[in-house]
Amino acid sequence: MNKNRMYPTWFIFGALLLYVVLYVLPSVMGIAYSFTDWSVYSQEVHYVGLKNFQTVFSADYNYNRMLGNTFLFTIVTTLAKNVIGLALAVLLTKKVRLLNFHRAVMYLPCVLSALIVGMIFKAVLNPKIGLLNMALRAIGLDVLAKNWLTDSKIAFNSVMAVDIWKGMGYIMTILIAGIMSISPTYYEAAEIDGGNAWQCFRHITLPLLTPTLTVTTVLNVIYGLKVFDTVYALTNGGPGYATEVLYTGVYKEFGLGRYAVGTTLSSIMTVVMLIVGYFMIKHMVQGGGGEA
Amino acid sequence: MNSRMRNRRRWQAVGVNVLAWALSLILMAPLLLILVNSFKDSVSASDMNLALPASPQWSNYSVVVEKGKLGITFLNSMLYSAATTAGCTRRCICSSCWGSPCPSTSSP
Repeated sequence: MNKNRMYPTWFIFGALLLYVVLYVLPSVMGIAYSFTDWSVYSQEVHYVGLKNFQTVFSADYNYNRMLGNTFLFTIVTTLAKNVIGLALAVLLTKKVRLLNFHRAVMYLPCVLSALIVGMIFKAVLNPKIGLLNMALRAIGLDVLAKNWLTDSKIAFNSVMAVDIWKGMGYIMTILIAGIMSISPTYYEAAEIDGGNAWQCFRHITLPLLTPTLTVTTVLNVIYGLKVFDTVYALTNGGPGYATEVLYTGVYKEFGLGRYAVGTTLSSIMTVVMLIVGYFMIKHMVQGGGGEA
Repeated sequence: MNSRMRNRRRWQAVGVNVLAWALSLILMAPLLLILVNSFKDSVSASDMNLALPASPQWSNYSVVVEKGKLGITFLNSMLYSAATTAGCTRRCICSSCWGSPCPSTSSP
């Protein structure tokens, strides 16, 4: 191929410069600081080896719980958003009156700021005057009325449920686009062959939606691993450490002046994200190649 | 298509519509909560329920516009969105084009 017909190299410089200055450099510096005793109390920064990592993985602290909560949050919300989003997408590609109204309503929660969502659901999940408990009491289900955000056993489930409410509309929109790109001739052929709705979904919709579902899974996993705002706005990691996730932990460590431990937690998550991202992108590329 | 099949399809359509409305209402409830309470005075809004306001407080909106400096904050948000969208799009187009052949025979 004639080299004169290629786009010039300087095209990449702007993006590369921003990427290096705003992403690579801070990441490398963060990893370097995680091997030091950097804190608000230290006059000088000293190399301490793996001491911070020992602290983070030690059973004496609650960091393991933060990591566990983060992974649990990621797995549960990813699965739930994909399943509910898919169900909504299938529903809202049928012949429904006021279709665009329903689509807009279901998409609406994801355009709200996490802080607004946090404020709304603090009110909705209030044990005494909250909408949810009042509705449950009104239909005689008093036994199901709980302290949704203050009971340490169910607070994390409540936080995940709010995040699912907020995010499923976004996934639904992506999946609707995926379903609408499937040729109707497949469904017509299946109907002639006597296929029912479930068979059409199982053997046409689901296989042809797999690349789209891979994309939504990647988006959800990355979002779940770095979740902060929803948890911070709803419970700030409480009660106790029941809903603490990694980045609320990092935020608190920085607030307490323990910068080195904060950067250690961030570094661990950076490595986890790199590994997860690598395998997911590899899977996506292979999936795309297989389809072509 | 026989009448039995037509009947079945009609009931299916009714079911789908009812389900869509039920889900929309459930999803809308928290959003309605904001809307309804935005018309209440500060005392009754603290209850945060779906009861309609006794007398709508339209002045809440003028307070937000004037004291909350809604004009400047909205403008800042718009500027932020426009600048980041334009910047990201430009950088992404440039970096994704790099190394690939130009579509036309003329130099880029």
